[in-house]
Amino acid sequence: MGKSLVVESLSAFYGKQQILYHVSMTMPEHQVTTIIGPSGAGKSTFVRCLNRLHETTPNARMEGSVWLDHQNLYELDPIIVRRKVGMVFQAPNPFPTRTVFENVAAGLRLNGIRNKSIISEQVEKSLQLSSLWDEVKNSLHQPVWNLTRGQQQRLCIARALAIEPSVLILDEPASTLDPLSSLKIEELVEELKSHYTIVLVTHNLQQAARVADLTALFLDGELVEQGSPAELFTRPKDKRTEDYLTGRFG
Amino acid sequence: MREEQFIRAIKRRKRKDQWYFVFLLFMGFLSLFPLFSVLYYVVSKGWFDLFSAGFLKPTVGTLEMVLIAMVFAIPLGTGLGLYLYESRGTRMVTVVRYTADLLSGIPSILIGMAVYAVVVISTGTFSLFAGSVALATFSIPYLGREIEDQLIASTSAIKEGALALGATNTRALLQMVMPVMTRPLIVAILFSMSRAMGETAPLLFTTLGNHFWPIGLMSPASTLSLQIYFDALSPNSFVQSQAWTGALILIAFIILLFLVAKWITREESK
Amino acid sequence: MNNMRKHDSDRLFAGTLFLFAVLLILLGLIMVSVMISGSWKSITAFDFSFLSGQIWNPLRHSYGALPFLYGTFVSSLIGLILSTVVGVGTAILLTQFGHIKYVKIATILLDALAAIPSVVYGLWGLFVLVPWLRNTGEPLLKTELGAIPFFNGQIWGVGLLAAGLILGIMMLPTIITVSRKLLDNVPQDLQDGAIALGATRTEKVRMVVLPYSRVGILGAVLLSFGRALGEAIAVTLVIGNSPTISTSLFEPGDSLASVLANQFLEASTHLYLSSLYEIGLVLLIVAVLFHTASKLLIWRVSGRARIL
Repeated sequence: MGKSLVVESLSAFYGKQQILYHVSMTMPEHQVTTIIGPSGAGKSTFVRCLNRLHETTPNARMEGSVWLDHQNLYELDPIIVRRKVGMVFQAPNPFPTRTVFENVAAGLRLNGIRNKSIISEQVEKSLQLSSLWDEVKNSLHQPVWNLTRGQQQRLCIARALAIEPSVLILDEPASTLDPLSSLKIEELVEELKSHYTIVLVTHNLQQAARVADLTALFLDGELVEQGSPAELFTRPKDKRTEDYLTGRFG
Repeated sequence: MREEQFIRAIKRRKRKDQWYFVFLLFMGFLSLFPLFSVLYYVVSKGWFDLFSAGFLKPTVGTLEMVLIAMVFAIPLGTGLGLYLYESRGTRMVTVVRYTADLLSGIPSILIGMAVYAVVVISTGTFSLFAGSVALATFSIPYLGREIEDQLIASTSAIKEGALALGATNTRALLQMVMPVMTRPLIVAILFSMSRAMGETAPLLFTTLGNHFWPIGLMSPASTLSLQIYFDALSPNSFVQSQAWTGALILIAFIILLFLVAKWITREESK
Repeated sequence: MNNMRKHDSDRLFAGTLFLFAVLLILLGLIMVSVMISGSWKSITAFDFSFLSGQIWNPLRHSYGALPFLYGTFVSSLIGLILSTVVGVGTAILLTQFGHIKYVKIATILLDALAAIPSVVYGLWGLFVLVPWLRNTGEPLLKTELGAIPFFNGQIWGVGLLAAGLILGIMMLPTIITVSRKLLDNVPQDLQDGAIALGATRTEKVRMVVLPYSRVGILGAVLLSFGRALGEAIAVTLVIGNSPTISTSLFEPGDSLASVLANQFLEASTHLYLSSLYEIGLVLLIVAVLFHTASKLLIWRVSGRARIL
């Protein structure tokens, strides 16, 4: 299911302002790649380029290429791209007027699937994957605001998984959650990597070190260094990485 | 989920999106069409008569009536606006604000009836003055609410600064805040004038309309809006065509007020 | 605060401001009391038969206000349906599909639409819209949709449909302006959620944007409906001014506000005048109800922030 994602010389702009400078990196299949860096470093913009969400903002533009399974995502229809690359956001953003079930089914219905048994099968599977099933199986048709924020975030993960993407992007998924919910999301990421290529943006260095197979550090729109967390955190090659990790940066 | 099924679905969905966009463009066109049509007819049917002397009376009547209405509405509306701003948060303010919104929003013909019952009956005559009172009745709450909004939007920081320097509340408001408010205040007054200028219903029972030069404040007077209304109702096609000229003059005044308002806010943003 | 005692000048100032508030409340009370006292004779004479009576013929001392209620609601309802579809559509176009440059131009034009006085709309309605309806619009509706009773009747030009169309145009600016603000307030992260699932613009609007803002839009629609109910001048010019109740939208009718505009100064007996005041009272009550309902709805969604 998971496929590696290859980024070549990616630059991103808001109007005349450049946000990302020629980023190239590979996010291998069935691994967790964490993106770290101070706020404003371009982490979110980077991942928003991967599913072509960046270009939906007015005046936003990007250059370079992103390859998934030998296909350049920038030459595909954005809708197909977003079907292959799922995304979970900083704050839980379930559709407020829909039920738990309908939130997870939303992507399936968009894609024209009408068969009820396929939909409920897929909804259950996705909720199982995001380890939310046991908590919501009796309240599938309740409004989403009955869920806790942590549950809502796992619901958003289930929503993204329901259309079976190859890549799952999580943009600081735990940054607005309590520590316990945050830990749950972290465990979930570990479980999910056997099925998906995972890209996790985080500002929490411990978390990055714990779950990552590969870590990349962004500073001021540039990819400064990438490598296994063991290397990057203990023997940084770049002076700027060292400065950032020891807190001497920004 | 089979891939080819998905691709087929995408084609269908994008086509639907396109059609929806075309539909919305059509809705946007429908929104603007009346504007262009109204302006086209007003200009093309109205300009022939533009400089005939017949329109001097109603023009003067309109300006006089609106200006007198403003003589009431500006101080009272400003006072109301200051009250709403100064006492915000209290229960009384909620009641006053609600009443203000209601008075500036109720059918204006009802204001005409009330002013008829109070002013016209007690003075014994339809008059330009009574028309001004009717226009002021909805301009006061309108201005008050506008001024309250402008005060909230632009000045709480300035006022807090002045209070921190030891000014009394009144001084802070009058000396520091009001000068900054001059431009937004003028804009609010201009908008309120442009609304007052176009109103017809509250004048029907108060000013009545008149084909002679206004003799004084206490006699019936002609205004552009009343003249358009009565000319439109006339069976005589020559008189009907005069309605368009009246409309052209009225719209020209309103556009003028808008341009002045735009010019003032333009200066401010520099 | 370092001194608890309010400064004397402050107290004087606050007192003066309070007078302005009292004055406003007084204006409101005068309004209400004029309507009630004016209509007292009619209220005592007719009770509720005033509202249910179908015949309005002052010459024969018959005062039934139902035709006016009917004309008011039907014409406003036509306006409401048209302006909701067109106005919300335009607001979606401007906020979700628009390019900034075009949006700016459209905003100026829509402000201009709102600034045109009602009497000018009435004039345009009478001499442009009504002839078009008589010669083209209504015959077309009759041939295409004549099976529906609304579109089957004698064609006059003036009538409920003409009034409804004019009201629809006059309701547009409010609906567009308020809807735009509500649609702009839909949180971006909710919209991103839909886009990230692969939703098209249309699907995003349907899944997130409209569900999120529908209560507020309903408020905007009610608000402009309340205003349309009381429009006198433009309606008087095109509705036909005939106190009848007809199913066909092509037939002339009359409304509460326009019967006031036409007959208030002609009322020759006390009872006639009083029954017109009662029509004013009914109009006032209806306007207050709609105003209050719409404010409550819009407050509910905007957290008391003033959108209007």
